[in-house]
Amino acid sequence: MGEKLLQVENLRKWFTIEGDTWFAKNQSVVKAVDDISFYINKGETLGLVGESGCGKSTAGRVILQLLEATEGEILLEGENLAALSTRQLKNKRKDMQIVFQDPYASLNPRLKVRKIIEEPMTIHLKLSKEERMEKVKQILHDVGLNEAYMDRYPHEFSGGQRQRIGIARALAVQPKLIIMDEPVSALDVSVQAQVLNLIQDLQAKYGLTYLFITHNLSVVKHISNRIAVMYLGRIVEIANRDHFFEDTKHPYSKALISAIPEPGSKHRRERIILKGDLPSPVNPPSGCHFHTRCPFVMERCITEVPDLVDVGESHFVACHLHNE
Amino acid sequence: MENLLEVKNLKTSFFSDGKETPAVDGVSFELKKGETLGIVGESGSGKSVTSLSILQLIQKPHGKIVNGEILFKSQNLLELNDKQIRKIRGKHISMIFQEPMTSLNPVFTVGNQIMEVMTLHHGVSMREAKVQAINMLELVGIPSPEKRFMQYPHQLSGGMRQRVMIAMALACNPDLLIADEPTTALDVTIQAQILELMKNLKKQFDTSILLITHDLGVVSEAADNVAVMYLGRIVEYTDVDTFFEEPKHPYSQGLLKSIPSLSNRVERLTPIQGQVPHPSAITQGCRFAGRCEHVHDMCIREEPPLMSISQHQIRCWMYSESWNDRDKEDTAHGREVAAGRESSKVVHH
Repeated sequence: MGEKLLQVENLRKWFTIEGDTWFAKNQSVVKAVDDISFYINKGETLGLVGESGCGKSTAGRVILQLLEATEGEILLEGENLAALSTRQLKNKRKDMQIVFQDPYASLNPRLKVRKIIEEPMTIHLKLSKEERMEKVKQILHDVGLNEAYMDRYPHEFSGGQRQRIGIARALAVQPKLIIMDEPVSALDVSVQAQVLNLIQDLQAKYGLTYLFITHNLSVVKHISNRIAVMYLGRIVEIANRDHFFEDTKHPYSKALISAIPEPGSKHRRERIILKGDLPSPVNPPSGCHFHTRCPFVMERCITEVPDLVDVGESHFVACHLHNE
Repeated sequence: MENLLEVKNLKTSFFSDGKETPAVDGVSFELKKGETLGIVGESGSGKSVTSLSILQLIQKPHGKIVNGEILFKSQNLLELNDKQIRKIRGKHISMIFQEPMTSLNPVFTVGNQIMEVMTLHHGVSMREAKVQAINMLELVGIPSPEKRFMQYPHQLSGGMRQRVMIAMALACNPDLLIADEPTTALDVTIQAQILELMKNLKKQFDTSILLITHDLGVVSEAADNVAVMYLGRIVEYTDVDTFFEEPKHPYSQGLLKSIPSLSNRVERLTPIQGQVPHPSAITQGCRFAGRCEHVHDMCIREEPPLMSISQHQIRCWMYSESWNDRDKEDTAHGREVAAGRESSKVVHH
């Protein structure tokens, strides 16, 4: 560890949307991702947490170059992805793969499992047909599926099994980085644990690096080495897992943690109930985006955007309370 | 105290191609005034069908309540005709659904939809209904309720819509509120707000709540009693403290072990093996046998009854007397049979 696989520098992704009215062409801008920077070391898992609309999935997609960044740099092993030619980028794509949230929508219903897993190999790897089949079998075995399932179609599988197929497809080209976009959110609890264990096993076996995007803090705590919290397009806190949970700094992170109902916890932690809804990213609040819901809001928060600063031991937080 | 709701031996089945698939099979529970019962289960456990059966919202002609009694204030709802049950729905028993977008009518304003319930059941004037509807919106914590009253569902956020659903459900001050995964579609910070709201309303109006969820955290937070369902059966039924302190059924234990915990991190989760089989694949014996780590021959031969042990009701042979006299060697055999059966069940949806 220690070597950086992925570096994201001042990444911005803005979407322009047409105005509400038929006649006036007033455009507004959604700042889905607004100046985020982070890195992921080789072999580690960074958990990216946030509520719906905070930009976590958009961030994942921009990193994979599925969406074009508005601004900023994405470096994979030191190489700037935006500077690559189309062909070079295609080559790079085999190093980064994604597993999607919805195992029902993310597999082509007309392809047999063998074809789904084989397809990325056909594109990226120079292998003979026999070699590819051999590999498909081995990957199916890796993800805990019987190789006899190879000739079945996605609809013949349960949600958990489909998610295994999605993971198998991502593994097919031996990527370095896998972006896991809510990979267990659509699964039943008993199956969720199986898939989480599989994700960890594969990481240990192949030295994979994960960007694990989720809204579920308990899952993130279980699986991540480091944790980043996003709110309305910005990262508000990044820290090692243990630092993050033992010494949570940002009021939003604290509220998130306290909002989770824990099964059977007798002495309930003091709950911070945030007022109001997540503001719209079209017109985010001025200054610190969180100031409209923050229990500790100060005058400064309304006008001034807090920087993400190191408060010691690589614990970064963007909050005026911790930024003297 | 008298029971507000008593469900006895409920069986609801779905029919296709002349084949009966029971989704809920012999379920009994009771709910007192002011009490919250959490029904927990994974998909296919029959928890939602149970709640829909109470209001007789099961899709005909495929779905049918085959057997049982649903006693609400000692009156069997299953004996009522359509007109009579309509008087109960919304007035005495109301329901909140999981998906706040699809359960509101997109072409009517929020205010209109709340007023409808009031004018229908209480026969109040439109003017009176409007005042009450705005009060309800305020009660469920919607800021500037007069403005929201005029808006359409698409103009509201998810949390806001769920509040509107709750306002609508509570408009007639029902005795029983059925909440089917009320917070599943919401973000955690909004979920916390809604759970808090439900708790306050319960305190204020003494409403009984039937809370259907897959989230054990939500149950622990909001329920007084818990019933765990698996494949159409209640497998464990007890009060919430006993349940979390001492879960007895292997399925409940497995569920609790398979959730990553915030307070207690483990390196590796212990999942339940296999997956929930399709209800059409039910065979004789305990329905959990194929995934149970303690499975024994007797579990495969015969399904255990729901047994009462002190605070608990449990459907598991491990808590019967015959378990101690069992032939230990049959455990291994049982596992094989169960595993074989399980693999033949998988993948036929």
